[in-house]
Amino acid sequence: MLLRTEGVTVRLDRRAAVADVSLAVPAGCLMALIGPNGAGKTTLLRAVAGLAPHAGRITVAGHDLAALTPAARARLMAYLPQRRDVAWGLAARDVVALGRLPHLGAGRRESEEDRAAIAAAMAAADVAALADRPVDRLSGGERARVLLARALAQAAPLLLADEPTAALDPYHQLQVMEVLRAEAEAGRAVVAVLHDLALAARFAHRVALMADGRLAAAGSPEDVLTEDRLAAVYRVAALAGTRDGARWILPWRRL
Amino acid sequence: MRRAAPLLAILASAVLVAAAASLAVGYVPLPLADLVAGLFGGGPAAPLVQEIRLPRTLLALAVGASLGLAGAALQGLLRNPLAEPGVVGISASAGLGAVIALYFGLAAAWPPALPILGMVGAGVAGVLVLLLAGRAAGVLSLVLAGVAVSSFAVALTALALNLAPNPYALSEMLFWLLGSVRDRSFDDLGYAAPFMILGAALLLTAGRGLDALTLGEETAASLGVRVGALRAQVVAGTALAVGAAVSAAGSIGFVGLVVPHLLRPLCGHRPGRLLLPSALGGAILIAAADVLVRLVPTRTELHLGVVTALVGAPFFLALLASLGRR
Repeated sequence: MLLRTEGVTVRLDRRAAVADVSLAVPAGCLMALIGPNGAGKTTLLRAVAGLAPHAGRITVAGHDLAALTPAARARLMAYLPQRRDVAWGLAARDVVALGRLPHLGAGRRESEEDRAAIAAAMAAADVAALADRPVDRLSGGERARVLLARALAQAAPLLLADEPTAALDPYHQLQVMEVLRAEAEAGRAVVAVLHDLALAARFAHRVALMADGRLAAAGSPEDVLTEDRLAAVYRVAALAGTRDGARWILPWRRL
Repeated sequence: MRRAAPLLAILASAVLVAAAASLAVGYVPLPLADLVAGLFGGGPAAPLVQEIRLPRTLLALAVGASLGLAGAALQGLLRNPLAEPGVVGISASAGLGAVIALYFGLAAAWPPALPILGMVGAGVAGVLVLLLAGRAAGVLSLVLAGVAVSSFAVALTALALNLAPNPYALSEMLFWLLGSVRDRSFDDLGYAAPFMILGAALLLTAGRGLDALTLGEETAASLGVRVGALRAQVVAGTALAVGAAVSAAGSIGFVGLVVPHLLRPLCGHRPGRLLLPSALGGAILIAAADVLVRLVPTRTELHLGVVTALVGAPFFLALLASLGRR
């Protein structure tokens, strides 16, 4: 297992935002982390990224997270937060290059390997044409893909993405999900927090459903995204079906 | 490292030109041959060059470099182009520390007390601003925190000078508010320089972390940066560099604002790559301003801070207006 969490609990203001979550994500798997607002998805992702103090055990590629130095952790996992702030007007290519920081030596000079990783990441996220554009002049969709390329360039076996499709139009939502799935199938483990059940059902290999900080269900999209469970956890009735061998879901009305 | 080397070469050449001009210009006309001979300790002009011109030039360069570098580093840390030692009150607090050391006999008893109290003042202000304005400082909260810290430090400086046993102390208020590098000796430079060098070393090695911080604190942490340590490093580096600079030359405003802003587009907007050019640019600006104050025929010599504020304050307002529009 590339990522394993055992009994992870995160307390925020003495409330357990994440309670006793045990998950396993193998290499080659895109796992969608879903659940209603406030279910603890982002908090769990931050705990795995080493950004939230927690109880329980997290291992990445067999290494105990608590024993890793920040630099070693950065070579094992990349984290793509939901906020897409970039403080200065760097060129898109220079933003992507920041993903190579954990691999650079003291002189911070890019090697051939770094340049190849940056080019490959920009090609995968379809931003090669934006290389010289200042990132503060890009559209929301372009910026989201540049930041995705930044995370890909880190070339870590585990990729954590917090709502990577938020505020994107349907075309770019599909594009980002295709990139994440392709990265998983190329051998990474990808954990993506998603709000869109249709995207989770369509693209994820596995789905983990959280409710009130606990893991309500985990498994294949077919097994997890049942009518009863959506009614119980999300309080919605959904339309569902199968098309081209993949499941689709459309939340239809409140219950 | 695209385009970094040519920019550094041009700035380094400009530093040499500014230094040469600063050595050549003065109230006593000096033939070039005497100046050059004097630099190497010979000829009739040796005492003038060695004891007046040279320390003045070196101090101008060192103070300018410290202020330019500290401005660039603070802006990178707070992700805000208005962060500057003068604007956020670090310079004024350093001045307060220096005044306490100088007018209450501490510096007379033990000369290094002067830069050390300056650095303590700068460090306290740095921590205060970080606490008041928050880690990713918004424009408004940063400017307001700066106004508060700055005004308080200036008021305490005036109070300290009023209470000082030396009856002429208050007449030197202008020096602490507007700064100058005239009539400084190698001793003054010697007390401050080691701290400025140490501060510069701390700031120049923060580049990697500041680059990562472009993407926010959490992403920087996920890239392997120890964000808390980085914050401490930049505040300590700023306290050392600015505290020592102000204790030797008074507080000279806006250098750390104007210089990084002009150089940023030439450095690809990367905060790490902006650091060294900003140090060189600050050195050029202060050395040039110090030539200017000696050339302008005023009854008493202008303070350096007058020149930098005349340029920098309109600049600050323009920058503020452009940030407000965004």
